[in-house]
Amino acid sequence: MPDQFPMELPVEAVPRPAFVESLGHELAVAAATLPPTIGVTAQRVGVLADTHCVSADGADLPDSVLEALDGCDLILHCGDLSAGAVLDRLSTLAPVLSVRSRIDPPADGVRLHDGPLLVRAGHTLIGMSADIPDDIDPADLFGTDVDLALSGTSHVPRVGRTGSTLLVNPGSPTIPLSDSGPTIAVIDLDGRRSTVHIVHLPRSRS
Amino acid sequence: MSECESEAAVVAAAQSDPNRFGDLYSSHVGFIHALAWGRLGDRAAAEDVTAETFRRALRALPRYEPRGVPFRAWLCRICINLINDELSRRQNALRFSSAMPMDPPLDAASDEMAEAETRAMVHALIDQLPPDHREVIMLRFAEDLSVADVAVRLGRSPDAVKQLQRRALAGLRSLATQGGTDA
Repeated sequence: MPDQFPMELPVEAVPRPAFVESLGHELAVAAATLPPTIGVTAQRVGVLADTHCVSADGADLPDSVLEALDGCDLILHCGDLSAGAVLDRLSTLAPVLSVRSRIDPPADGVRLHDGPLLVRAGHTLIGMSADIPDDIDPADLFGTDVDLALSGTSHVPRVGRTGSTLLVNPGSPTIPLSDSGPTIAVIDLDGRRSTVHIVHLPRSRS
Repeated sequence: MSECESEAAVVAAAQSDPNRFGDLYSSHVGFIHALAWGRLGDRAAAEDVTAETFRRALRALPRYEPRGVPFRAWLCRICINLINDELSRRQNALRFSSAMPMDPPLDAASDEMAEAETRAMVHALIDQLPPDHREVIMLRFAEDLSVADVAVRLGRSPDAVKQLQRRALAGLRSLATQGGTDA
């Protein structure tokens, strides 16, 4: 494409400095509100939230959670971990990314991030936030249109849709607040098509 | 590190920290503006398209995945889509205005606007000509070179330049008659 231009551009083809500066400022303001994006490779994604594990070694995360996540090549945790050790246990299965809520340890920028966070898995763009209030458009929260919007906080599993975005709340595997009982979600990614499974776990804690 | 790898690193940095988008903007704003100006022929439209290109690029940045395609090519695709939208809009406006009885321009300002619009339309039509036709038109009428100077610039005889110019103008008339800016 560059060779479609004459070697010396007419002066009008060169942008005005004031225009460049003004647009640069506008973009900088917009960029400051956009969450970071992490690129990953994954086809089966385990999603959980509201684990509220407090033991120093994450031992109070039920074994049934790990069994249900077996085979996932990425695990996403949407906040309310309570203690960070739960991430250590999850990491024995697959790479883990999580967003923190107010009760969680400080972000480490590797596994635990201040939300919201964007995760690009192939053609699928996933937005993660500890909470997505009902009156907030996910596109506004994440600064862009996402294919999947994951959140926690309610302890109630939910799969819904707004526009082209699939909303998923995996519920809680430890403190369920609905008749559904303890739950997590497993999502199969195929191109930009996603299939969400809410996985029901035994009620007793291990 | 190759230029491609280096650019991929800058894009990855902007994805991890969107505040770094400014680096990409600074590197490409001149090119995108020139592309828009070259296709649209006026500064105001070029600035509108340039601004919208970067707004959309920022919003779509999380989805960008380098697959051997330079970031600039991705930006160009956004820009060219916007240019085509603008050309379609102009074409529709021209069809509409030619179908409607027009009052004569009321003052010098409206004269200038009409002239600017016409100039932009002509640029859009010129852009659809084959490269050699486009070149002879630009050299003769935009750069105002004589037939002899164009002949030297193109390495052709003056007679060949005159013939090329006749064909280019005929092509331009034909496009204008069709009202076609569907490139």
